[in-house]
Amino acid sequence: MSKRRRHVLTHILLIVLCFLIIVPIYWVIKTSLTGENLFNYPPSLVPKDPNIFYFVDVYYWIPFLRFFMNSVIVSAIVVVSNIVFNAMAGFALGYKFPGKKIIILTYLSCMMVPFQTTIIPAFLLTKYFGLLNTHLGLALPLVSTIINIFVFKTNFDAVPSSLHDAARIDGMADWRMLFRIYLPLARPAIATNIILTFVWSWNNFIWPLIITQDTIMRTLPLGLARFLSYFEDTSGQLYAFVIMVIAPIIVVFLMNQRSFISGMMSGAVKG
Amino acid sequence: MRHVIGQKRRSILLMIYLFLFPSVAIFILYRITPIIWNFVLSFQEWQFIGPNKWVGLRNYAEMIRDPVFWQSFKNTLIYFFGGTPIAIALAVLVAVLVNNPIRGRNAYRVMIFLPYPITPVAVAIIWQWLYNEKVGLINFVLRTLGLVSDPVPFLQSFTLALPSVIVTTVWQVLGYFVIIVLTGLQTIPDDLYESAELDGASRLVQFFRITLPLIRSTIFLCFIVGIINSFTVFDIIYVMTDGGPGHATEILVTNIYKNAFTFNRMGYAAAMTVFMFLFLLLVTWYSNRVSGGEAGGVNYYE
Amino acid sequence: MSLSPRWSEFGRANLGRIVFILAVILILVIWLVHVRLNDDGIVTGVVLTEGGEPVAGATVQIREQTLNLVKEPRAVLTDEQGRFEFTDIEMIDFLVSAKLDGVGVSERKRYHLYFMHQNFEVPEPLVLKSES
Repeated sequence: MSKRRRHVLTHILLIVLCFLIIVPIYWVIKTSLTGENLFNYPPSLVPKDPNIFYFVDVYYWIPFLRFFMNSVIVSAIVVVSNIVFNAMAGFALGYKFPGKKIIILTYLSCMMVPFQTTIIPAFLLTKYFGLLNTHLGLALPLVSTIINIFVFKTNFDAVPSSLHDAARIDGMADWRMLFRIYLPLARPAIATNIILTFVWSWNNFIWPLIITQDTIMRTLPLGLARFLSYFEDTSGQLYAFVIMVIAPIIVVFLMNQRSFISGMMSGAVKG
Repeated sequence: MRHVIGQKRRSILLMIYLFLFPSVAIFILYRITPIIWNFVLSFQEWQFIGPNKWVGLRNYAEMIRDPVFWQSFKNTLIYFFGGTPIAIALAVLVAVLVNNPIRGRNAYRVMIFLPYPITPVAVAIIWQWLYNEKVGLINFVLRTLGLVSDPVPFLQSFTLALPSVIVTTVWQVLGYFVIIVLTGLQTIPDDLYESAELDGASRLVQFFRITLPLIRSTIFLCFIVGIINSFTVFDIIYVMTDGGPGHATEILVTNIYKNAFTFNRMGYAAAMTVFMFLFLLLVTWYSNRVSGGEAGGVNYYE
Repeated sequence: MSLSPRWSEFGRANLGRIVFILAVILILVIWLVHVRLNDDGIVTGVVLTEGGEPVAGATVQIREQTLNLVKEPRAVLTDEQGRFEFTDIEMIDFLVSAKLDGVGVSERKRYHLYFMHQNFEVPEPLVLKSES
């Protein structure tokens, strides 16, 4: 097969695949704009009478702003503390010190423990700390992740030691070097950290499900699931809510595609 | 490797331990303690309110005799063996396609990866809508194409529910596998293909003789990711079917959740958690040995 | 060893995203100002006969509703130019209809607001059709 024919075939196959992948998303967007449901069979392909009233309904019917802020606050706590704690740990791992093997073993073995196996004790822990139903309680289990520690470590290892030595000769304390020298050079690692931890904490469902008791403290995914159980399916408002929940992530993704993809690559195993 | 020398050793050591403290504390609290706690809890019976009772191995005995437990375990395995190989095979195909030097490669990559960061709860609701018996798009297409005459109740049927959920997961996870495989593909030097071309090997032969063997460890990584995924998927199943008609889509995690937080049988749920954890440990340890420690790639010891 | 001026580098690399975010914030601010200026909760409209003449003294009824709540209907009378006005409308979804004994009844029209307490003018006149 000639090169050109091969390329055309590749394009065709890929376009078909992308079509199949995009159709569900398009379908939901269309339903959220037109509210076609049970009473509208056969469904139409293009939105008829599009309107944004379903979005308005959802905004006023549930405390959307409050749910949104809950998700934002929890994600902010998670992202910021991840960057700080992971950078610190990754930096410390660059030194040789007694007990290093044990620490690394600890980290690696924690990678073997998926979050779902810890839900019962984590719930009890949070309860005993009195953090049930609070933003901090929602954020705490995710506040540091092993993958990201190693992301920082490999990044810091690439910094030439001559830089470190020169700074030390200049009299800079080691801990200062983390903030003055290493972090500014670690832009990709910081980006990876932000992306991975943001996605994990924004999309987190099982933990808010277990931890929150009041409606007012729910995060967006939890609010969405509860909305579904009140209004069953086939209503334009439900799909408008879906769009409102996934729009932030999709926008963030489209704005940062390359970092996103390479970042999520590093998170091959959900830590 | 930075070596700590001289008088500043003490203060640097202090810095190191201080820096390590937050993350280690979190992991001890939320990863290591739970393992032990689960273990201890599994030997008790606890209704959450009221005192615990030590019951020894009773929970495990009950677990072994519980058909729902075995059903959920079986479903988890089906989830893995049904979904992951298909997803990986598709991903390899797609990655090979995208790897070609065609225009718009990046656009394709973005579109294929798009479902992955979407909130799983939303994915579940979207696909629930597509599978809907009366007004779902899938039924509409099937009816229009004349493939079926009556609407197919995908999520309500005992036989179709689990495959339907698997398809949804494959849809979301495909992009992720594609990217992993793509990265692996890009490590293969071009001259291998060129010399094969000169030797007269067809594209198909090149694929099977060059590409596949060289991305073996990448595919392996996908399998590891896949198995951990199938044990920890909770959101999609809980929202789409909540265990399905009967327990047709019940997997281990949803079973554990229900026992712990709906039926308040903490001890029993802990026993199942211990089982799940040990099983996963076994699988990852064994596969690490089989792959010769290739999976993951980075050597963390220094 | 010197560190390059980080902020100007950052700005140049991310110009597109910064512009985008600023534009979004600007649109949000403009929208919020618009909402603030128009949120008295007043709904107005006009009632006409089939011939197009304004009807005075017709009873106009409004029934507000949400996703699963319905409020008690309220009624006002139209003035000489056939205009009516409701104040303190709380919900974003409502039905209006008009009637005048001896002249006729209008269709029940449904309208949806974009934000709570939006000042809204019913776009089409309520046309009274005779009951026969």
